[in-house]
Amino acid sequence: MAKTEGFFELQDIRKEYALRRGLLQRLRGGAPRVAAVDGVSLSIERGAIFGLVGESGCGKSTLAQIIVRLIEPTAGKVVYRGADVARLKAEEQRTFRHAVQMVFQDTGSSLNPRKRIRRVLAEALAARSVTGAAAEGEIASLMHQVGLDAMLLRRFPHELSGGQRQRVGIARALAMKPEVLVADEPVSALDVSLQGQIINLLSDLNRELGLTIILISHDLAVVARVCTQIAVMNAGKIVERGAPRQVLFHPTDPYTRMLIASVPRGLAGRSRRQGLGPAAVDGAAAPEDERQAAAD
Amino acid sequence: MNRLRRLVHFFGGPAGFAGGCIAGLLLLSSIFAPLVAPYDPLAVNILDKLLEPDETHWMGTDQSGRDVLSRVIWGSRASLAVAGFAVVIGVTFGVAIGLFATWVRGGWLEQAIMRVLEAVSSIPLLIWAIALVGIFGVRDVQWGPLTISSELKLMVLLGLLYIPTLARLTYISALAEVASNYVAARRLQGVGELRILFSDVLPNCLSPVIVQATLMLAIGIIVEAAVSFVGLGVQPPTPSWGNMLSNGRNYLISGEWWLSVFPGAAISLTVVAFNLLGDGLRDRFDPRHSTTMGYAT
Amino acid sequence: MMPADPLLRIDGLHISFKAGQQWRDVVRGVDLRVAAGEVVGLVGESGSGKSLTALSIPQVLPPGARISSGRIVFDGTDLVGLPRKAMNERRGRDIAMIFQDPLTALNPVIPVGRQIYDSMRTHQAIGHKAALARIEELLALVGIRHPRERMRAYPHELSGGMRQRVMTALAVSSNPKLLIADEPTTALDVTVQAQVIGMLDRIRRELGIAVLFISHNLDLIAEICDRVCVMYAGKVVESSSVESVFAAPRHPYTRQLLRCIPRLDADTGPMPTIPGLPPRFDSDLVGCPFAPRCDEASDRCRTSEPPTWREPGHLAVCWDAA
Repeated sequence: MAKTEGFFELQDIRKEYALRRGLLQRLRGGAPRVAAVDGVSLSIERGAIFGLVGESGCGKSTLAQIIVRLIEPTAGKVVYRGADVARLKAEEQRTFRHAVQMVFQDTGSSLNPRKRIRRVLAEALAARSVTGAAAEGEIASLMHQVGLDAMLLRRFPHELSGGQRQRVGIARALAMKPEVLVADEPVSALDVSLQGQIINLLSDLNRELGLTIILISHDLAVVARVCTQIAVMNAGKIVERGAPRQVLFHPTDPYTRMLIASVPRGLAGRSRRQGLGPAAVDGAAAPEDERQAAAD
Repeated sequence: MNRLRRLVHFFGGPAGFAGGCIAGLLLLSSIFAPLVAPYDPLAVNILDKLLEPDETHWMGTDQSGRDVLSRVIWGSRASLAVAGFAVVIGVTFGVAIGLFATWVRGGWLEQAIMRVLEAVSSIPLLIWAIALVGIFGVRDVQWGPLTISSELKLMVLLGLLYIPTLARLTYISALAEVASNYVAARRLQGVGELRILFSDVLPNCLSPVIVQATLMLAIGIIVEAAVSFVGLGVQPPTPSWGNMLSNGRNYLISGEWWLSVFPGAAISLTVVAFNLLGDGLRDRFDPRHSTTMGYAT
Repeated sequence: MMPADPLLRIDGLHISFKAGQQWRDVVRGVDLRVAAGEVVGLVGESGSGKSLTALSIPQVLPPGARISSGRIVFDGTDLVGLPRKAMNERRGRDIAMIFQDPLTALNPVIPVGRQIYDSMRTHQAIGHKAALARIEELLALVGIRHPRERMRAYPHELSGGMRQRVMTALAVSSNPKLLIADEPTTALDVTVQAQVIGMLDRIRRELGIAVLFISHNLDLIAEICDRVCVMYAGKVVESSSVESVFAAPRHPYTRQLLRCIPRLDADTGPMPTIPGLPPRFDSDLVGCPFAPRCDEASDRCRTSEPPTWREPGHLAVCWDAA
């Protein structure tokens, strides 16, 4: 296990979905298929914070679900610690499940509305066969680890703020003692002022626990700041990858350039807009129209 | 005072609370009918026939001199029992089938279940009830050592007919819950699908089922009354609101109004009560109504 | 610099929510001005009262909330206490609104062109042909290509950005004087967000509509707004031209907000944050509500309410603003 490369690898992952069409077409077997993930290969080093950037519909969430094995890829291999996870034995499957956890976008559905926070964490620990007094102690230390007051254990999810709910989501994942944490848009539902708190928490966990983090976001600025490696995804493919500075300041792919150009930049953006007029924006209108045309 | 307010909140507001109170009183009086009813509902007394309501017979007497108030109270037993047991049957099997369809989702079995349920629920309930009672007859059915009374038949039939609606309701809310992130998180903890269905999904889809079940109690009362009214349900001399109404119909022209008005009023009151209760519970379970807690945004 | 009688003038607006048995002020005395044709940004965290302030103008507050005092003078008329009928008329004609989720504003079973057409024919004296021509013009203005074909599309057939454009076209079809945009780009991708911002900018330029733009991102506000009002705990804590707020923010909250915006620069290491949480709307506030989270707070801030510091065109509510 000394080798750090090959810790977590995706090899030529594809995920296809059949488009729903009429009954006749389905019977003929000719239902067209669309690839949400179209041949993605990635290698993630142990202890890295790996950033995956892309916009909605680019396949990044599908990829996240493949990484944690909520769905199986149509083709390709997920390799964890040198073993193909599709061929693990039952006992190893369980270990993999616990080792690779996920933090979801806080849309209000990431916590069961009928369960108090204590129960959410207790159930996670119970899945690891930690119960009773040991569980109580661990719940307390989990809450401390994510910076939440133990008072909140008695609350229901709707009685917490978005940032607090997201911390509970992280605590729930940590309860499984994971090695890899996939965070799918963990801050996009939060206020700008709170985003940093969650991102910093993830980055602290990376440093203190050696947790490998795969941070998925549409926000290039956030990802570039904390990640050691980033990859940009568009239409199911990785279009650019590298160190954050390199991607940010020397992008080679036109899509990456457009993504960078779209980030609001305050007064600078204002003068840019006023200087160039609406024409500058019209130039950027192309991709959505293409997507729109593709949806027809 | 504070407790009362919490109680009103539990029923989703004053209207729901009123519905709950009326429904509760009806239930109590039907359970304790032997204590509450002033006379024997079956005791014939030809000398006292067709008396107008007065202080001894608050709701008057019928053509055989039986006390109408006592018959209304005893009649609530047949009505509530039929409606109640039908709902129990409907909820039990409906929820089970709905969850099962969710469990086998994505396969042909799910499709088959849903198509059958849709086919059954495309025909109105009352038509089913009358058609089936018509087929199976009004008399008790002997089935080996078992005697199936016509009330029991009605209960089971009504219950079976409730199943599709409740199953589809459960299925639709369960499908939404199964796709949510908290369920994904449970899967990542290695918890089995069946366990997730019962411990996480089921509690979150019960609220619409409870609301629907309450409204179905009201429907059950009406169906029982309608079926008994046309002579296919609860058989005389056992009183039920439906067959009392049916009997009272013969005396409307001759002016003995109390024979129809009181059982009719009982039906209306009960149906209104259950509807108020159902609407109240719907308001309570709807998360959009539970403001003032948490953060205002 | 500002005309004597602005298009919209909000004075001492208080909005309260029922919390248990008592009414609690969530918006606690907001003053706001929007001149004709001006774009004003309203920024704050969730729970700051920015959305409630916006919703109170066309009086579409959520159930449980009410305006408890204050005046909302729009085009010379006080909208608070205006009869329902007069208010409805205003809402349809002079004040338009777009939301974060366009699906809530669009009817799912009617083609989008038809929805704009119906709205125009209800609110304006306009003929069939003229209305169709105007819809085509509006759809083109909001950046929809092939507007003639797109008019027949149903809302679900359009992408999120397209729906936002259609909703904007619907909103401005009645030639309103004020467009309220409540976080219109929060649910959108960055590239689409840039397009929608461009579209709003074009609309205010070409139609001369005043816009009240609500967002939690100051950088976004700076791109299209002339002035910005920063809200915290139900009050405007700083208000000025975008240039001076960015160049010399007077309120520590504004400074911290500016610091928190993720920017594409060479910085690494922990992201700047504002520690703690905004106060809950049902908590009692003593002194400056931002003091518990403020790194410059002194004892004075914690005990007594800060004064309002004013300079021509600039306002800040802080003890140390001067």
